[in-house]
Amino acid sequence: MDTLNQQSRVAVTVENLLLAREVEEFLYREADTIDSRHFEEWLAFFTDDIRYWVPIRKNLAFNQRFEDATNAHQMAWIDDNRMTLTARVYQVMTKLHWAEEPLSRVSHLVTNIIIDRVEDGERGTEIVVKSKLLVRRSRMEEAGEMIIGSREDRIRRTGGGLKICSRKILIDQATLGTKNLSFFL
Amino acid sequence: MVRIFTNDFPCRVPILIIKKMLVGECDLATHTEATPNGESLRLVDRDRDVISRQIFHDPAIYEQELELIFRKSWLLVGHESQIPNVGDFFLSRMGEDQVILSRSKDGKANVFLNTCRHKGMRICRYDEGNTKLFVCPYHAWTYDLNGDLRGVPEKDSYPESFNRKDWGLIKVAKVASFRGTVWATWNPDAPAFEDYLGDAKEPLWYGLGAWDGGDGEVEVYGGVQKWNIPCNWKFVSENSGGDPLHNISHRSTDLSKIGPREGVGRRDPFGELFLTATRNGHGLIFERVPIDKPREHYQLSKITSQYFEDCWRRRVDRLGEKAGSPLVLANIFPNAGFHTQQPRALIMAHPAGPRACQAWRMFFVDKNAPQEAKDFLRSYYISYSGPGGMTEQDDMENWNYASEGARVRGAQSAPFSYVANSGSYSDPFIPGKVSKWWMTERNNVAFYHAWADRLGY
Repeated sequence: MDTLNQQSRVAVTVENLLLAREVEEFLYREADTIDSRHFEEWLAFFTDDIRYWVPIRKNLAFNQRFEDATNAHQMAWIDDNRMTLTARVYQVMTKLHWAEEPLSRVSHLVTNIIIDRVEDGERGTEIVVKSKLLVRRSRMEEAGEMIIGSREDRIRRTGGGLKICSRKILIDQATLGTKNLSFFL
Repeated sequence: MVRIFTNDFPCRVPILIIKKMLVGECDLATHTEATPNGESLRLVDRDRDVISRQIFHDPAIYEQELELIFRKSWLLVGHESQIPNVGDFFLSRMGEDQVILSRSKDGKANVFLNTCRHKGMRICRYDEGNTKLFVCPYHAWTYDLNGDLRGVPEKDSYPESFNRKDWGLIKVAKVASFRGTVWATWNPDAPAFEDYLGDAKEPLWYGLGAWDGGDGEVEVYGGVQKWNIPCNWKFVSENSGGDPLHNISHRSTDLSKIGPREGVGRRDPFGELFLTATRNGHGLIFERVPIDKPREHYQLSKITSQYFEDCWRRRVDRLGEKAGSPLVLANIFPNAGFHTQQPRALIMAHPAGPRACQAWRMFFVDKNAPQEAKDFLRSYYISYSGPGGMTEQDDMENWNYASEGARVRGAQSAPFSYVANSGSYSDPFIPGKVSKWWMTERNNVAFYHAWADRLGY
């Protein structure tokens, strides 16, 4: 493991401040789009090769503290590609998806945004962004359920603007307190 | 008049519980409320195939379930592939209680309660791992992989009468291994596990085994989905063992076409369904498919599809006509559910209160399947199952509010209906009395008969 990332790997320049602002704006708009229930529009925030991955956390010994989530060959809460992510949106639109009919009221609070690094990928410049996520879902007459976790997004600069090409969400709970994940994290 | 028990079945409730009922600690008043038709209401009415809402929410009945069902039955605790090596352990549950499944030096699987004999502390706080000893973090009582007490600190302070042998972790009465799955029971008088399975034994052996019907191993993918559902555990058992009627629940998934073939609903097409239940209350759901045609499963992945096709041919060679009636779903009484085809899953619905359930899902695959097939199946399973699964999240919504409905005060005298019955046939390849796809609740009726037998109702 390299030295702790106490210091930003992204130098504080006017250019990078603008980049940070651009990324924040992008993530806030993405959250706003999903919270305001524009599901189809929300899909436009992702590339065609999107991987939307929510591994499962475990209670493990200290020496496994950096590997306490399931890996790419193990189970997950969610591991979507473009096809399944689109299918999820389609499912809500059928109006027969009982877990979301009537729709839950959902708020995404995105915070602690860190531009971790900027890389030149094969398909364009990619910005790796860490953030914290608080999602609260209220349904029917219930006060609501809450999920808190960490996100790592890989955001690609494309001809159509910024798009998320990889999203990994680590939920703090090992045993989920929500009856389902029918809402988008 | 308060009639405590139905006349046609022997009373099997321990005297203590009957006493509690009589002195009013257990509320039996509503057991005999009149139905809207003026008839008296039984908890499980075997004549009319209706079941009282009370059994899905009453705290006293729930306590009886914990004692008379979960302390007496064989319960699924895990899979051999989760503890392949000596020292491996996996934290599991039996009823509400946490248990450790461990592999000891003699190669055996052991199951004991995760509570220190000294002051009750959890001696293991990791979901899984490998160890030589379990050391209690409270006062350092130390146990081995058999659950035996190996040492206590400051041994000189203990009286001579203190015998370590008397202070081992509390072990289950019996452990059984069946086609990779590991089971345990607190009941020393429980029948041998395979006898307990009865007619479910053979279909489950193939259902939990290698896809080609041979002796090849299966393995559970790493990672267990665990989550809390506000529902009574029995709704989950019904779902696994005897409820193919709930297609409407999954209409949105079918329309979204998440199946592993172009243009199919939530899974590859299956044959006609047949249901049967055993005398122990196990529910089994089979399909019937022609053995002279390819299954054409998993066509979205060429390698996976080819693997399954090869397996299917070997299965037909092995089993002949019988291969055409594979098990699709099952519930082994009380709460061990199985998806044996698409996806392949072990389902645990741990009771956590009258209206709370901790659901666990583990998924399995042929150990020798190509990696691409394993990864493809993994993705499909995740899209289908568990709280994030597009199919099952709608189940949880229904179980949640059905459990709420069970408690509606004004509806206590209106029992739930289990009357759908598509008849009773005998079948050359499926054991017992078989009812046909798909409007039938005979398996769930059998489940509640077994349930009532256990509780003496």
